[in-house]
Amino acid sequence: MSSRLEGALVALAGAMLLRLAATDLYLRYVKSSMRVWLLAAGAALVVVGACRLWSAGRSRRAGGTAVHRPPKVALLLLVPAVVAFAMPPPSLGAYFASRQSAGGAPLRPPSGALTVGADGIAEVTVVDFVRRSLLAPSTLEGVRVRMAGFVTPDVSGLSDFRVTRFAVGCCAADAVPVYVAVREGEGRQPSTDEWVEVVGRPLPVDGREGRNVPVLAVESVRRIDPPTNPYN
Amino acid sequence: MLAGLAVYGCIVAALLLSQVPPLVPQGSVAAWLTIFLAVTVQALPFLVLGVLVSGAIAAFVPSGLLGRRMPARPIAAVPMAGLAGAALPGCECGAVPIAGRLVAGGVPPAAALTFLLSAPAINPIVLVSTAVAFPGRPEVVLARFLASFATAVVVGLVWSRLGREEWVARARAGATPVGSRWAVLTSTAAHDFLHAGGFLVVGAMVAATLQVVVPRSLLDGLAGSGVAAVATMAFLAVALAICSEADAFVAASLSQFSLTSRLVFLVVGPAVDVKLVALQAGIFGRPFAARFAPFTLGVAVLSAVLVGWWLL
Repeated sequence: MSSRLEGALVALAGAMLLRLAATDLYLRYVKSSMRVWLLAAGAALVVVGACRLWSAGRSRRAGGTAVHRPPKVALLLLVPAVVAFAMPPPSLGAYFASRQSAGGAPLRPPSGALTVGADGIAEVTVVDFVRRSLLAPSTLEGVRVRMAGFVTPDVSGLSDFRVTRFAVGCCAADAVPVYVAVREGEGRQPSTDEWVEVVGRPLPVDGREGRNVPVLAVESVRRIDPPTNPYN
Repeated sequence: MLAGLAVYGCIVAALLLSQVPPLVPQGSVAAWLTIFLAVTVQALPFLVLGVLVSGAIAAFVPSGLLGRRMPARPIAAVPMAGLAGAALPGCECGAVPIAGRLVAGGVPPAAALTFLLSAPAINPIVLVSTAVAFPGRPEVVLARFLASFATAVVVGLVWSRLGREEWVARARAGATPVGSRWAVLTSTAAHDFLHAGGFLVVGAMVAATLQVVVPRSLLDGLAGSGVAAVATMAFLAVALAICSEADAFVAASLSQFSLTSRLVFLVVGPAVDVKLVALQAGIFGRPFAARFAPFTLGVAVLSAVLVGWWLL
């Protein structure tokens, strides 16, 4: 491996981080709070790589050789770079949710009351709704809620489908699916992995749906584009 | 030469492909790629921080100074190195190149390895995130601190007795390059980054494969308490390769497992996981990783079970 190649590999890894963080792509893989670190680390790698390329050009003319070559396995750094540039994979969906334990979400107590909008509907996240259903059901009494998530099939057979989000602590590798079962819908069922916005009224938690899965009596289901931040 | 052509070919291909509508992978392939990229992208900033600190040590700290400043006797040096680890906030990936640089700079391997194990496990960020994930259970935070610190110190002390110099030969040979300070810093950082980066990619591939091939729902059958739960959680900690700043949230969500087995998960994860073993193989060499990882795993499980039995 030549010094030029070393410099190019380091700079390429930095370019990958910069590309992901400069767009919203990084939100499919890590939390939004990581952006500044991705930009800083990407810039640092580009600078270090450029320095190596520059000094490689000089030492070649001077006839110098560096010692201690990195192992061939360093070439594998090409793989994430090619994946990130050429085929950035989508955020996790129904396939990965089906591989996880059913409904084990990290639950922290909900904060405060829901704020109801001008149309009489409260906007909630799937995670917050589940949290409230399990830990503070009184805050949901008599409220109409709107929430967005992707569709997963209802494994219990009691409901039409489930609106799903992943709760992510650090990166997509620790994603835990959180479900709300949707009932009493009319019209065409949305298909698996489609993103939807549902409006409805909470029903009492039905243990048969599974631990930690509250139920929503749905009024409307609208298909939406995947959000830029797909998790939580 | 061929490798060089391959790199430039890949760069050109990647730039061209980024101009056309991207390929959208589906199903298991998509999940694999997402997890693979997530582990890599999450770890890289911490690795970069680690190699920059390593480069700064090579450039600004006179060779041999750190070794001379350490207490000579392991019984004093090892716990000191363990507490020093608490001062490095971050995930486990950054600690590996720093520990490698400490060994290259003359620090006794036992102390450097204790630092390597304690830094990602007992720093304030990790302890705070553990407290947040287990609200109202401060004994989990205390148990994690004690079990992780004990693991780091025990491994360090045993290494000072039984460890052989040739096992860390690669890290010792990390000779400081000559030149201006800036040249030393950048070439050391690039060198460490390339030694560790390729192995990080291997670790991320293994973690993604295990996450997609072994469904977590399959493990529910092994939940409960006792030996099976402890073994399952130790396996999960090694296989999932989750950042030490986030593993508490995952442990909190695996509520079908006993609290002691989840403590095993929290203590093993920052000490031994697939990407970490791969990084250690890159920086310290394979003979080192082959001995250090299984031994550390054993000590971590034992320490967590004992502390869990006592406190939880």
